[in-house]
Amino acid sequence: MVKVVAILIALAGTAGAEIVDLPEQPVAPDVTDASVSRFGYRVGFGDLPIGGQDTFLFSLGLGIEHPLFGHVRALAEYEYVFTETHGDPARMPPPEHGSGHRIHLGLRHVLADKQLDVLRLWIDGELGAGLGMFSDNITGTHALPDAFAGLRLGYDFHGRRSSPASVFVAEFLVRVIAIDRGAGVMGGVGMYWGN
Amino acid sequence: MSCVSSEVRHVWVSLALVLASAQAGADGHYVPVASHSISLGFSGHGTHIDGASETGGGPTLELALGVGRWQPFVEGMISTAGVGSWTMPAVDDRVDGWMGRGGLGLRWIARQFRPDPSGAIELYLQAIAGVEKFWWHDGTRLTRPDVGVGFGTQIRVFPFHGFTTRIDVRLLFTPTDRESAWVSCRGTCTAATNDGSAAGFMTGMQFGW
Repeated sequence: MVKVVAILIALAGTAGAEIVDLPEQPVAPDVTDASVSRFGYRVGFGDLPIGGQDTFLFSLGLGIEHPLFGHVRALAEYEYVFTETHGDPARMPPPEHGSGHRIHLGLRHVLADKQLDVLRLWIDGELGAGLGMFSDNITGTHALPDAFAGLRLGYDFHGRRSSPASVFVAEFLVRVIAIDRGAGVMGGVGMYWGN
Repeated sequence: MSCVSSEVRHVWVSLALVLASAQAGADGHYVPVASHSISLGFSGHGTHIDGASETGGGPTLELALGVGRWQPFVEGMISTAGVGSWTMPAVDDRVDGWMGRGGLGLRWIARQFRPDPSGAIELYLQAIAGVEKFWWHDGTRLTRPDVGVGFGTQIRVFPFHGFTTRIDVRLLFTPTDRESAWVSCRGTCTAATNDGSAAGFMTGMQFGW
């Protein structure tokens, strides 16, 4: 707890707040897209064959993205993951419930997009890899390296030049994740803010 | 707090790294939060008690101060609560009751997007600590502390007294009864509880002025 308070106090010293209300036009999307880093979160859910058993996953995650070149962006994510596994109901096994951490690194690229004034609709593809550490109440701790590929559908909403975040992004995610004993699928809803 | 040790520390460290990343890109002029505000809402939660899932939902009240991008707040919640046993998942084995929760927290506006001068869509991060009390219908009582971290989106409308709509998501860590976990799981079941904490979550929606 002391660590957290110290971190929060340190960050407070750098936080500024000033009301600015300038009559400016929105920023043209093509001006900002190539150079804007993003920060945001995602609520996800899915299924993975952890330990050979179908396991439901629910995750809360934070992510950052940084443009590399062209329409390619690098992404880094941290997720806190809840897991739950139900065995054969006839045998009445105890449900396995657990939790863990997962980190993903990857790349995403625009596959198609459509500009509508300050709104840009898009479909992006992504590739990457990661590592999860999950513990549950029955089988213990699992270290799960993975690789993933996915699609993201969403929109960018571009703001005024005086806006601290130049863009707001909302997206749906569908991702296939491969681990040592098979593959699973996850989906999610995310929101990101450009700097 | 020794009762919520290693797993919570991992989350703190991860959050600190993310905060540092977020702060690095958080330039610009932010419209500050209101100096005083009150919020009403509804939240649902899912935690564990003695290895069994506990869920419920109910109304919330929050009183907050505002300093720049920071909002210290106090909050209260009255919620339904229900917990079942894995040995008898039938409805008649479920124990219901009520939960009351009070807490303190600190919220930070990490990002602010202003599509026009009248409002903003904001990303916030927060840390909380509180106390939960359960009143079960079978007469049992339980009081336990919790700590948590969270994030969410809030939409503020500046001309309308800063009216705020907030969607809130939190990780919640509560102490685990180790002895009960042994009994209900047997064998190697203590892996998830050997750090003395159990993870849950809380999510809700609030309207504030």
